[in-house]
Amino acid sequence: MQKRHPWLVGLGLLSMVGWLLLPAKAFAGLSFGKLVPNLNFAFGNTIDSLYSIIFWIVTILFIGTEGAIVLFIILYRKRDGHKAHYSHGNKFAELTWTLIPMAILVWLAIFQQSTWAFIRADMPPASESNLVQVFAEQFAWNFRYAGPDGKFGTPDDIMTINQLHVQVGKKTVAHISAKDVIHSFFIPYARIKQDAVPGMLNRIWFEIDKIPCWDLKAQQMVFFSPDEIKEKKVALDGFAFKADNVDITGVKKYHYDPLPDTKTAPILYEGKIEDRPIEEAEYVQHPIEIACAQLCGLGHYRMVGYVVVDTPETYDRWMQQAIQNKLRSGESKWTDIWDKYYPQYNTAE
Amino acid sequence: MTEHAAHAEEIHPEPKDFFHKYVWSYDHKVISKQYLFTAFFFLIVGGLLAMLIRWQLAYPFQPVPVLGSLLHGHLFFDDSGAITPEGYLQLTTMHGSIMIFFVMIPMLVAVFGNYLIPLQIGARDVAFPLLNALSYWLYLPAGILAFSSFFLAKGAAEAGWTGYPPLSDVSSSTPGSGSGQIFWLLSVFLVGFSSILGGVNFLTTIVKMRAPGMTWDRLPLVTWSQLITAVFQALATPVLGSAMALMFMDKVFHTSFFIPSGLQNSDDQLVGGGGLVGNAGGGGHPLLWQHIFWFYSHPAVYILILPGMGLASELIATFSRKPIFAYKPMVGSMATIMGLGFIVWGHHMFVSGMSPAMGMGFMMTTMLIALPSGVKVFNWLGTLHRGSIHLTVPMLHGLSFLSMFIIGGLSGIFMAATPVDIYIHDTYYIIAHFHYVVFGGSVFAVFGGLYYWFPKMWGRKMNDKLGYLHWFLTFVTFNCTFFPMHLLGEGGQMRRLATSTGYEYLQPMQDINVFISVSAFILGASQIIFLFNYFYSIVKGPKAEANPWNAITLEWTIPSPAPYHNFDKIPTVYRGPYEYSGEEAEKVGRDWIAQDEKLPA
Ligand code: HEM
Ligand SMILES: [Cu+2]
Ligand SMILES: [Cu+2]
Repeated sequence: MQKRHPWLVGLGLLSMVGWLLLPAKAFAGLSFGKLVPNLNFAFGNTIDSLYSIIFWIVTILFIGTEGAIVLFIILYRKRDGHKAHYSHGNKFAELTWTLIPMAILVWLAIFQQSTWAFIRADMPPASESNLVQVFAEQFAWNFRYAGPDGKFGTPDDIMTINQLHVQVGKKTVAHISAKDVIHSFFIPYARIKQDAVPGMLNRIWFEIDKIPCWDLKAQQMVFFSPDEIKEKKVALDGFAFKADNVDITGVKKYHYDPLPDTKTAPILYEGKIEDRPIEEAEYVQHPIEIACAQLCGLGHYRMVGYVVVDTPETYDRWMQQAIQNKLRSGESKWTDIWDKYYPQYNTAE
Repeated sequence: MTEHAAHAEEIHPEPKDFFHKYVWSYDHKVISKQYLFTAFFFLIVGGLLAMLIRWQLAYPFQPVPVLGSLLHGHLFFDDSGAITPEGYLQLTTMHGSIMIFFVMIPMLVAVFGNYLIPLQIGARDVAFPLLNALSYWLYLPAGILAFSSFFLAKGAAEAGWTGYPPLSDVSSSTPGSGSGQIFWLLSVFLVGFSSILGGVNFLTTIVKMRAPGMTWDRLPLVTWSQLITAVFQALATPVLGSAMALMFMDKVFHTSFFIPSGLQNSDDQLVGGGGLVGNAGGGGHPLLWQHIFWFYSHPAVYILILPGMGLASELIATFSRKPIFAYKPMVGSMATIMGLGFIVWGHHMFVSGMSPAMGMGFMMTTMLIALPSGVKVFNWLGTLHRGSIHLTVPMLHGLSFLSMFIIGGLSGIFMAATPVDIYIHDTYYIIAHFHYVVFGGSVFAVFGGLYYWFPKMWGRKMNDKLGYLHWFLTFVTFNCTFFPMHLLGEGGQMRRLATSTGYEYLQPMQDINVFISVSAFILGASQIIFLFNYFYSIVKGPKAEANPWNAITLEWTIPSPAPYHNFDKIPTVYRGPYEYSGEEAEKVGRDWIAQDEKLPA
């Protein structure tokens, strides 16, 4: 038979026990929702709390089962005078550990149906939401708003590339498709993800309830509720966002610097937008990212888009400027397909 | 002696020349070893690809040491020896495809199935030895095809192991979707065909060729797991073949199975089948592929775990010196997994645009499929309970399988919950999940199996000290590599991204990426210990006896290495495969009694 190597076995056991403690520690510092805070109060919190419910169920099972393994290895280790107990099973134990997990799993599945339906099946009515068309291509995000006439596919449509404007606290419905390959429209801060599939219209909705800004003093991102932002001086322009590489691992240091030779900037303060001296700015309006979550080709890793979360005032300001300037970025590149091959998408509810 | 000769004729005579003995062999044991060495080769290739992936993720677009300076300007490298974005996609695509189709499925099914099924059921070979040889000789060219695609002008396939169209289908959408993708389709088609042949063969063998007395409730769980896997292979793999064939037609004959109307390329031209400009055929649907592909590939993930469950059951029972706890539920749960395994594929498509109502149904079935896996875990724990646990090298791997499979199964529950999956789909959470089941589960089971049956396969023993060292390093660095990936997933880091450092919200996690990469490099290097131990022991290991582990199943009743005709006389089976420490064993004065051993009157 095998020779025994007590020190090696001991080391192995130690590592198993250490392993049991590691996830607990890691989770404590970096739990779900802390890495990327949720800004979508309509259902993002529900997703996060579902995660926690499952997390606690799973953690109990994890500690119970892994603990049993370690315990049994110690209690029932091979040693002189100890003999294995001959047994083919135990009906009671078997029934218990079949029926209880079954109940938990079925409960979990049923419990979530309504959340899933709320997120995916119940679209908010048009009167309560802004509608935007999203058309993904290698490697950019195209957006279209209906413009003053409220209809898509007309000359007053507004189009942007890689920049989506949404109004804080108001629902946005996105109608999503793609031009060339499958992409996936992912806004981590809003807990939404939807594949953009060529030849197919996918619909989702979300709502962002906090306004991301950049704190110029601390040089980091902060989030304000519509009430909180009233007391802050937030520059809407006049600054440039910079990223400096720190080392070869690609870690970066971000900061906003004033644009050269800029004396004044439009600043939002107490619900009004006025040009003020640039030194007065405490914060800069800062977008959150849209990621592409579906492999779409060699530029997949740099297919970043941005969501600018606006207060009602800044949203109006942007919309008026866009209408005046007839903003139609990237038009001919994609609207042809959308309007010609899928005109029904323009009137889809 | 006359009987031996008679049976020998029935199967196939022992060849004398090198070619028929080692190359075009009908012997299931030789074919098993052919598969083993080929799979080792692909394991090394796939492992090196993984090292390159991890280099790029920790040190994005920095020149790769050694390999980069040797191969700069070729394969995945630019002139400075750094990995290019398209090179990165080739690496991930081919790492996944090679590991699944050319390493793990062959290891689990072809290596262990071939070697163990006839020995454990008391047969002289499989039912169709020629078909068996053909399986290997389809697998090898498929592997060569996959491997050679790296050297094509525009490189290997880049659309991921899941090959979603239109990216894979339209050749202009990415460099690898030209001939690289066609090579990929052909090689997966061929290896799938090989797998179907294997499945049909094993199914027939186990149903028809069991020795007298080898009733269904005396069948070792390894063989049971192979039987159920074979059903998956025979029924699901043809569907994979059809997916490959349809896309092949799209690419070569310009049909449009997966190409919708109005599809454009990056130059804003309308494209049809194969990316042909102006051929605005259209009318196809990209999701059609996903349904067909996952209808196979979800069962495929069970092809990747069921045999591992079988191997682990064997190890855990033998080294607890106890019968497996609840044998019939163990078989029943595998059968349940098979049944449910055919109706959960939609859980890979929750955010694809599939109807939300379907999402609800698939969530239900997916939650349910976690149940039989849970039952198995509890039964393994029941087996350990009040056993006499021998912490041998194979047993440590069996226990690692158990403890890591638990983690992989539990993370599956998060993903089965559709609302949660919206966030974690296509992130590193998924990568963490399936590496815990496939690496933490199946790879540990395979290592355990290779250590455990080494004496039978080669007639020699592996070195224990190196075995413990290899296990320890692998277990620790595996967890350091893959556990933090759950955190990356929670932070929203997408998979298949050449670097995450372009995203502001992913920046805080780059240090975790570096930690993972360093762990992965140690994990990779530790495998050299195993390969050295394995090959050195084949030549120089101490001679092994017939039954070094005091095990019960039939393969341990014959000499080591197993002789050409397996059994001189076909054995008669009197009892179950796990009769450790029972009354019958006591009667013969041991804690075990072989399946074909007659009790003294
Ligand atoms: C306990 C039962 C399990 C459950 C509930 C489960 C659930 C899931 C779900 C819902 C997904 C899709 C996640 C997504 O893409 O968003 C998934 C992916 C996956 N699972 Fe599991 N799983 C289980 C066990 C296993 C096992 C045993 C294996 C294999 C040995 C496995 C291998 C995989 C693989 C390879 C993928 C990812 C495929 C890909 O997208 O590349 N799973 N699993
Ligand atoms: Cu994309
Ligand atoms: Cu699946």
